[in-house]
Amino acid sequence: MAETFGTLGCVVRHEWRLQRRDLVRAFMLTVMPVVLVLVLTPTYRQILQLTGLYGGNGSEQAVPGFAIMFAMFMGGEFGLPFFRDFGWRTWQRTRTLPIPVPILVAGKLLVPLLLVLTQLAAIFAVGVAVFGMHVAGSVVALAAVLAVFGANVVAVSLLVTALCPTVAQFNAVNNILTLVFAGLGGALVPVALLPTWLQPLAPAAPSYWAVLGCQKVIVEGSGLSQVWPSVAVLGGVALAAGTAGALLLRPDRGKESWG
Amino acid sequence: MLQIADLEVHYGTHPALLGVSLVVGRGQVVGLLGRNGAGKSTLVNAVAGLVKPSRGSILVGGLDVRGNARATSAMMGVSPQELAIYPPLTVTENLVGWAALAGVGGRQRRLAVREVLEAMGLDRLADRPAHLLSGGEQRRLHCAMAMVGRPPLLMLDEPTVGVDPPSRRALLDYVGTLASAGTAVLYSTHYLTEIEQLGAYTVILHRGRVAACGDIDSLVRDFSGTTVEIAFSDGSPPSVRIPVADPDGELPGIIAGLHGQGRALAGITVHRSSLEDVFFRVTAEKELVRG
Repeated sequence: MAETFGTLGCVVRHEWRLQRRDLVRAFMLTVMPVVLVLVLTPTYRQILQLTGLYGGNGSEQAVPGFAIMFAMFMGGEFGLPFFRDFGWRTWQRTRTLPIPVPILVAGKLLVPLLLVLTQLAAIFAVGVAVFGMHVAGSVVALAAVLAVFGANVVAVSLLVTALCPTVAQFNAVNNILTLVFAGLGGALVPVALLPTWLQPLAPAAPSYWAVLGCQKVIVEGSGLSQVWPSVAVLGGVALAAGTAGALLLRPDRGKESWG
Repeated sequence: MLQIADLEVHYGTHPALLGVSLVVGRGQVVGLLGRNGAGKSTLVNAVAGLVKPSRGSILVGGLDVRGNARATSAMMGVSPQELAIYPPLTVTENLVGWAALAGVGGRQRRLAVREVLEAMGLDRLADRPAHLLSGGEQRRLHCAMAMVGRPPLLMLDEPTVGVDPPSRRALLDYVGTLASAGTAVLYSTHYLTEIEQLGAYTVILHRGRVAACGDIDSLVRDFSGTTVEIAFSDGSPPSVRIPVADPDGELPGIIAGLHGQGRALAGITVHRSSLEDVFFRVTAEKELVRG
């Protein structure tokens, strides 16, 4: 067990050494939602006041909504390095090392997971400090929802990576899934404002459970005992997507990268 | 260190290796020769666990690679045919990172990296990002990654493609040094002179089979041999070419015999065959057999 963790640590350090060379994308995906919160919070305030959904200054919708949407964009942080390794032919070469493939993949997953969690934490911190978002409920419950959602994003990204043979397909699918899940799940506008025929489909999007969990804590003042359905659904989807991704990821099958 | 027995690999219905057997002992260099598509890279990849054999066995350090992949991988350093380095990382970072992944730990890792940097002439490039290296320098780094930590079994697949002569000499010298220290080396190349410089036991693959194998002298003797060309000054034929096993021992008798027939000799030339002659002869013969 200690040897496995030691090997995993080596893979994570190596992956971080590579990813830290280019954190511009991660930085942009953290700054951009903050800019959108700044621009659109007044609009959300008016919408919430007109519809009477709930009070607040609009940041209660804008901050979790954009944070969740851009966390899904950040999911590409897993897929792109994976395709990058195929382009450099280092994926094939690492398979000659005494490292089991599951540990190689897990090591590659952990770095983007940490990036997604850092991104979410930064956006929520700015939301509270700059945009006056008041968290009425348990911060621990909020952190639990966001942590499980982060794992969900990375697991779905693993599945998309496993299914897409080319990096172009991966980018297209990742972006489309992000926009569809963000819209359907209530990250862009509250689900109650979606067309009535679309509203029953909203729970099919993992982002719905993330937005729901966040707003239960932020707006309704809930704690862990009230957000467990969100945590359970997000955790279940993460487990299912991660397992499917791991099974479908054929390590011996080549993928087409930009290189 | 490496024992391959009756190995067969198929890509779909296409046979890539058929009944290949070979042994690489500790401290031994085995050179793999063969035309493009002969099966050299497939053989290296099969030992490295990248392709699955359909038949036969591969033992590394006495362990079957099937069922002991982690243990056998820990005993080998592999330099694949295609360049595989991390372009954004410096030369040192590539080597340190790779050594860590290969299980070379702590203080030993630093020493191992320093040794391979010096041996491969990369020490003055240690802090340069790999993407700024020339093609030959990148190839040297690519090979150095396989050598770091002195794995007991080293497999180099066409390691000198695009490498300049001094660097090629440095690489061959270091391979020789590693072999002298007990490393088993499987060395695949198209450059026959490298096999000669390494004094390697040679295996010539052709269409997935071992077409010939042996040390260089025995291959030359068995497959090509030496000939004596004798030119005459007294008419037809102007010269004859006679295969001989031992020119020094046989020539006096031949000359005496020709004198006895009244022939006037104009000159004698001894043609000693090279490994290249053997290679062309072996692969050409197999072409004819196939045709």
